[in-house]
Amino acid sequence: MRRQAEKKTPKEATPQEITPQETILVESEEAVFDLLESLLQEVDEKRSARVVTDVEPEAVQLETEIQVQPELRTEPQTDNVKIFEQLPLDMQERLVAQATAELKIKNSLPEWVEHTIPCLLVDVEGIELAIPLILLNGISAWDQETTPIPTQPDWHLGVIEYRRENVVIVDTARLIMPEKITQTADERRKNHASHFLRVGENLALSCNAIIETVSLKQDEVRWRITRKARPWAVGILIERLSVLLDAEELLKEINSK
Amino acid sequence: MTTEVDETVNNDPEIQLVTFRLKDETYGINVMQVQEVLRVAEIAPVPGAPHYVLGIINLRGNVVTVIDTRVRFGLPSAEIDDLSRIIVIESEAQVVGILVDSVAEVVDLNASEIDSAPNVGNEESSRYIQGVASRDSNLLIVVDLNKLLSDEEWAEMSMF
Repeated sequence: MRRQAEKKTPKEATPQEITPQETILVESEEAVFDLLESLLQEVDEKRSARVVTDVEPEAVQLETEIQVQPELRTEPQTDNVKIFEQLPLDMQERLVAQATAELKIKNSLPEWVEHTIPCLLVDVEGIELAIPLILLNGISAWDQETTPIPTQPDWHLGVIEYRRENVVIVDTARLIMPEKITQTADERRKNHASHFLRVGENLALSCNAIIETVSLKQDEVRWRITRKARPWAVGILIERLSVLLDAEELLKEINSK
Repeated sequence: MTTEVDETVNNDPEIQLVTFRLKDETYGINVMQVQEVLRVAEIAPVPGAPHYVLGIINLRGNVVTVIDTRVRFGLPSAEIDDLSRIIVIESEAQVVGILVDSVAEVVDLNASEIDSAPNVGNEESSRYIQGVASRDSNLLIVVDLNKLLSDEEWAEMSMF
């Protein structure tokens, strides 16, 4: 949202909307972002250029092309540096901290994150989860018989036939918050959830209710930058306080168990 | 004379504590670390969070983690009622909420009035007790908020 405001041209903005002081700040912020992004890009380019040289001798031509690019950016980058250097020190520090934090978030986003993220909101034992639609292969009411498979973990509720394929139903609640589930797998199977969401090839996540679909913007989510613990929880929907669930990461966790 | 008074004041600084109740005891935390006190509204649970994390709240567009202080202090859990409050604190560069039974008052104390607490029990539970102070024939337990969680736990607070 803030970035959109920055891009507003003078023709679009009325005098009441932007004061001269705000204009300076917006220009300064743009300068800092452009500067940091160009620096970051340069690092990436240098890194990729090094890899190309080491691994693929035939790509030397590509390396030469990349080296030309920084020269093309020299002029605006110098302007940005000048604008930035004219700012008071505390504002410089604040802008750098802000830009660094935003770059950290940007670099930590999963690959599937677009400008808008269509999600399905579901209820799992009282907790609202938002699952990106792009990661789902199907949504269905759970009204079929489930065949339990012996010697499976307690989150494995059994197998059902779905669209002529055998699909394993995963007890989502047991997987993501085992401490809250006191029933046995048999009890969970008998009083099973109402729906399942197919993810990956042959797995489906159980859920108690389908709430609605929403289209999220990136700034409507508080992103988790480091995800060592619970890598499937990529962020929190700020307004609804729902957990944004990366079904691919959950799938990885299931497959590693 | 003035110099002697100044030295006494400097050697025994006055501190202000926000006091709150948990079970039958009164606790105090440094007022400088308190941002605000909230009535308890919707707290959204977070799957996979540690047992002492009650959930998260939306505080004017910011997501704030709420700690169940009773659980953290090893006290039995209690139902949230009209007196329950969330004290929003800043500690270790993190803003978190701590759920308490009720908020009492702000008291002034001289540092010298805080006695070190008798160290009983395991180190884990007593590390965040800074000391005790006698107030109107009652004991006030002074809590060091920075030690309420370990460094790793504080870092985790921003990641829910």
